[in-house]
Amino acid sequence: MARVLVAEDELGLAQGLIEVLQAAGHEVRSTAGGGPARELARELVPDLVISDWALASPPDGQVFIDELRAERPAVRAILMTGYPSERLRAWASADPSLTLLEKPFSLADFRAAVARLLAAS
Amino acid sequence: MAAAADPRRAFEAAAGILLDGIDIIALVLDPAGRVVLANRACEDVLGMPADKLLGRTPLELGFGPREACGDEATGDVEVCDTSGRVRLVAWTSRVLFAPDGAVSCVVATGTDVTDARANEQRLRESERRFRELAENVNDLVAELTGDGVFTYVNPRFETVLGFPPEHYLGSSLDRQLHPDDLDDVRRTVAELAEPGVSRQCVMRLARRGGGHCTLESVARAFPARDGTLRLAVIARDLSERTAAEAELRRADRLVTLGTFAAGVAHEINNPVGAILLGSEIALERERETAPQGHAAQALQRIADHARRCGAIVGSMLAFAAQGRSERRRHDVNQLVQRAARLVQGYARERGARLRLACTPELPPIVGNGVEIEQVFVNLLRNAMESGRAPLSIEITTERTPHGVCARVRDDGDGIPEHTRERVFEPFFSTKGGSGGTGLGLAIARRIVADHGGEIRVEDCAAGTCFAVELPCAGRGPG
Repeated sequence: MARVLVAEDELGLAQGLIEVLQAAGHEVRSTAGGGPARELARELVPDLVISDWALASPPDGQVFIDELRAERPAVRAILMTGYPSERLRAWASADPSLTLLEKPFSLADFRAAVARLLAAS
Repeated sequence: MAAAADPRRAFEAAAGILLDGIDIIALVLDPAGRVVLANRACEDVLGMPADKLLGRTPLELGFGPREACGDEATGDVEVCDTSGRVRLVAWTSRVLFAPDGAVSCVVATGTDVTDARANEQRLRESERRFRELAENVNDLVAELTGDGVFTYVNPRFETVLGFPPEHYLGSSLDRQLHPDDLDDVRRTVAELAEPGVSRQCVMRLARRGGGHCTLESVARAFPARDGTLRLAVIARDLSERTAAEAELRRADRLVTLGTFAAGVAHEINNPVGAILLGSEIALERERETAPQGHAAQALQRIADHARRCGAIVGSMLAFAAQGRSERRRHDVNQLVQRAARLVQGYARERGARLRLACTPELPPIVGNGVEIEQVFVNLLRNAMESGRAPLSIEITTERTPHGVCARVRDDGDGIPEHTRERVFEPFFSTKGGSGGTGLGLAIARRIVADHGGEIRVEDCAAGTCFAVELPCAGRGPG
């Protein structure tokens, strides 16, 4: 199906996301921290990136996604955050291949976001 | 001896000596108005020897008592001496009559009042100037006796408190005071027992129509001309400043709450996110086998409550965001100036001197004015707590390629290299008990980040320098 990169420091949440994505038949790789996410993205060449905004090490999720999409505009992305701001909402709503998920989000919201982004490809 | 033999001549000689010895001009005119006697003072004032005056009329000489022919007259007359110098002479003239009723002579005396009148004029001018000054300043100005009775109040008293000046004059300060301030103010007045002593105090004075007005006042004791002690009092209406400070405290609380809420949101929403997703995944599986079982019901409750936690954090964030949504164009210079005004009182208290060096015509930034102001207030407060008085704090603003940069520099103790990165962490403080909440810089950083800007500690020779960079309107997220 699709290659998905998950960057999330909260392991409990990352585990749930990976399970759901794998059950849907996607190839999933995960990491924590902004730097490792950058490296993994180069190696994996993902179709979809799912990243937390506040990663343990720089860059933050938004910067990571912006950098990656500057290189590969076809990559779609979900940014997750526990502290949503107007700035992040505006950033995500400006581009249909981006989605902001505000924590805590439900399983249904997550599946819908993934399905919508991958369908658009 | 001849003089002694004729008492009348002896008397005339003595009178002549006496007349020459005084500095009052003395002239005697005959019935025709000609000078028959002039003393030496005439020469001093008029520059003409007395013997040259004899036989001439004052009119011929271009001066003289205008009313010389009246019965008795007084008046100031300008006379021009032989060198052209104008003198002002206060004349008194009196006509003496012979027993048959005919005019016998006119006696005129004059005093040179040129300098005295000029002094009076200067005094009037000076009094006018000081009165105008006292009556036109924005502060309340009063003079009191040493024991606190009003002897002067300026018109600001009526503007601020509503009572006319007559209400105060002759009445005691005690009668105007809020009862709770009586002891404090009496003690202060008692301390002002010697000239030059000065005291500050905050007092509440009665306002017309009820209530009191809070005044910040400075009083100084000085000796009046009569030797008694007087008090010069200058007071300022604090109500306006108090209101501004209350507004600042409110904004401060909201921003503090916002920082807490942001921290809490991050800390709570992450695990709650894991709980919600995990419980929903488990619930899905459980439903495949036992949709009405206890486990499925329990998982449903867990998911519901996790959602509720999310909603609670969300409403807390919304509450903390009150008034934060408003974003407009702002001139950073104005925000810096307002922040400096807000902390002026604190600066005085801390013995810190503020200096503003703003670059004019900076490009506008877009954001929340109250919040950006708060950033500068927090940086200024931080600077004022950076060392022992006297502290000198400088605020500069300048244009950068992408916006505006404001710097707050102090000459305090500085920040050790190894703690530089940590100063923006919540509750990190190097000030022990002396400082604030330990949130000031954390709040500043959050606000600046929300505006798409950057805040950092910069290298400087002594003290600390904080730089705040903000993108100008049309750049960066707004």
